Amino acid sequence: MKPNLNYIKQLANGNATFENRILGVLKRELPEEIDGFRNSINSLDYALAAMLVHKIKHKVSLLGMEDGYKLTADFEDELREGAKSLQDDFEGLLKIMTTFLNSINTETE
Amino acid sequence: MTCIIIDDEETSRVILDQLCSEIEDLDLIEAFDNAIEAIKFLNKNDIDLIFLDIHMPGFSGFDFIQTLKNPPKIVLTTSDKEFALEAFEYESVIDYLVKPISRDRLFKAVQKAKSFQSTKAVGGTSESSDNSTTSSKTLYINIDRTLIKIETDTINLIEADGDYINIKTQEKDYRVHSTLRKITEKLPDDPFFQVHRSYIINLSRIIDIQDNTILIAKSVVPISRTKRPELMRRLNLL
Repeated sequence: MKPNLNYIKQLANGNATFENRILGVLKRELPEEIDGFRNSINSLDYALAAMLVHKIKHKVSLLGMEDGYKLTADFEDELREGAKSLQDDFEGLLKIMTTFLNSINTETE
Repeated sequence: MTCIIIDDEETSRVILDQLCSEIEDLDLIEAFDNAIEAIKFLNKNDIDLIFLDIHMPGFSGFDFIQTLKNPPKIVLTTSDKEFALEAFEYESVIDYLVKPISRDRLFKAVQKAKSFQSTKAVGGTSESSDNSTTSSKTLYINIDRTLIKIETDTINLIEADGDYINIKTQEKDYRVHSTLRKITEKLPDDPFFQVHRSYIINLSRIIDIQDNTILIAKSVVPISRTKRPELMRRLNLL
């Protein structure tokens, strides 16, 4: 599961300002969603956790992680049914995404 | 064509904002992170197209659609494919975009919305709307090859006049080549009522009723004997 910027670069179509804007928002929004996800798991609010995992799922696909997308979709379904057996795998995915985004410099920083 | 975005995820709003800005004749008026604020906005503003996220906390996109009385065209956006069938159960939904959204796919959706809009604008000879929606808040009339927009709630009455109808609004009167039957199909049932074979009136504009006549603005309109009982039923009589 290795993230890439293929989709974002294709979308930006050479527009560096737009590319930086997307990456800036991703870098700010993802940690907020991760915090919300962990808090909802800790408070056993799996419905809210599923909602936040759903939002993170879009970011997984933005970073071109096809395997990660499937894992996230499965975890979202599982949470809606009140289970969380895929939580460790999902946490691993979050770590990969966070490390990748932190390694990217954007002009907005 | 005007549009708004409703999506609780900022990343999605930023992407849609950028892609909308690349489309000629598409004006993004506002982007909302929740449906409630969008409903308040739509109560005061007319919009042609909504990009609507299905998954939002508290109030989903489907909940949102059900609150709208006369929804504009809607393009749904979501990370899931499984809602596609449910989405098209709503008449106002014209397309369904799966995230991450591609530029080409979005452009096609907007093109589809534009084609709906142009069909609506030129579909009739006198009135514009060609679809089955009979409760439009606006009506376009064709006068000297110009489509003039009329807010239906500004209409006082409509009078048949040979091959023409006279539409009398609060501001102005319009003479249009059409029939009462055609315009009835385009007007909302409430507050309009045909009181006579030659007159449709806006019930909310009645000043008074005497015997078999109604005073509306400066016009006196006859009441047909057969229409009188139904008229009485529709009035809020003390």
